[in-house]
Amino acid sequence: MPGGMPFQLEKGPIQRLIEQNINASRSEMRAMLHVLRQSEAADDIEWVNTLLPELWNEPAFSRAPQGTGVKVRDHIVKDWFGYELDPETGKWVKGAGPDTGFWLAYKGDVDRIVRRALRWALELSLGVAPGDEGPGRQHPWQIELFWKCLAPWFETWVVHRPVANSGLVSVFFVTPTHRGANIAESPIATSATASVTGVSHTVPSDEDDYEVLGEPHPHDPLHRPRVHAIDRTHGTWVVTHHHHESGDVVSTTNLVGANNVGPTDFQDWGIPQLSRYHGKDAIVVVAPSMAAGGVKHDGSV
Amino acid sequence: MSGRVPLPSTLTEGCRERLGLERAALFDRLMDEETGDPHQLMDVLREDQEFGVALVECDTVDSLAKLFSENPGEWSSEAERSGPLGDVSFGVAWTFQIRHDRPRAFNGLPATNRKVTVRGFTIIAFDAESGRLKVRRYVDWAAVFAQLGLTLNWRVPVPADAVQSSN
Repeated sequence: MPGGMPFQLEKGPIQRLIEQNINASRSEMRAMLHVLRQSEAADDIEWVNTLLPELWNEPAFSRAPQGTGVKVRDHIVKDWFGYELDPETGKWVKGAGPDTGFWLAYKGDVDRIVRRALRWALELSLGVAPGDEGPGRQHPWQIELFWKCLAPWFETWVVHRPVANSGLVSVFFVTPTHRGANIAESPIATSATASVTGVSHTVPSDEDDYEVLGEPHPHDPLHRPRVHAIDRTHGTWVVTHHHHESGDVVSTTNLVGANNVGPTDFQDWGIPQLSRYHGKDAIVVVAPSMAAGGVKHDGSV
Repeated sequence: MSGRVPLPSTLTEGCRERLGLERAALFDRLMDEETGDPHQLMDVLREDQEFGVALVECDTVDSLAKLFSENPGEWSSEAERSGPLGDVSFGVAWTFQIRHDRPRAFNGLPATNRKVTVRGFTIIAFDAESGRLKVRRYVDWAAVFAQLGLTLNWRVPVPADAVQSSN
């Protein structure tokens, strides 16, 4: 979330930290719900500070590209929600640009979408209808978060279902792409770290708990994975081709070739199709490292 | 002239109507595979702007209309931005308006029923290497995609070796 992702679906350390903080006691979650309900009337960004006041002090943020929780919070307010810091008042105000935050070709009220989705997720978790101040359920359902990129516009999906004697509320942030976003053509790790000097985007890394199902770890086959894949309590697995390659930069429906302009014969032309990707080699099952958008085997950060 | 394929091998009926009987006959004569002279046709097009514009209209309308609609659409050229180019070419700036109401013809899209404006510039030139007339079309496809509501995937897929070379 703070530095973009090399995959199309991410959890990663930031969302895992939010999960750890939002899945609190019933009274604490009721307090969070109260903050979100109150924020609907105020319609300002203050809920980011008051929803999970201790979140931004988490020491784990020191490992994020931004370096501190406060800077990660400001990144979310600015780049995700599209606020700008008013130099005169020092307060966040909604940006007036053609796009919201760092999203490309998209203008929308991401702040309110996220706020409403988290409120509904908390209401589902607590078992209370919108506006209902009743007691709800005794034991709140777990909430989990994912980020899915890319889509033409910003949506948040709240998906819930029963699990054993409890339930699960899954929140999917479905987003447009953003400035500087890339995606890895292969889920196979190419680096020891997700952040690489000289590379502006994160890359698949073999940090904890990266794993290619059925294959030894590239650097530490004796001690990794730390637990068998089937014994992991937490995992995000991508199943796809080993890698992908693009065909002609530009091809057309009449197979003119890479040059869509021509020269061709009279009435011999069609629609440019841009890049066409080809899945190559075997199908692999890969758990990305947490730093690259996956999770550790035990859900820790 | 052996091996040369005329341009076009046959004119469609719609194209003959646009060219008119006299120009269509001249076209047939100069594009004849055995006795024709495409180079001379190029000279004719450079001198007779209406002829060149009508030929570009044929190339545009007959190819584009079938992607959007059963209806022919409206094609227009910009005379002040059309005419001879360089030593062996003829260019036409054009606009084509049509409603996208034909299902699945445009890359499988359902009909959007949107009115679409396609802008382009077409160059017809004699190609000495092949001995044929060749066509280059500079079309504002990005604007067409935008009018249909399509968006680009703004994430660049990065091959693994690009990252390894940075390590």
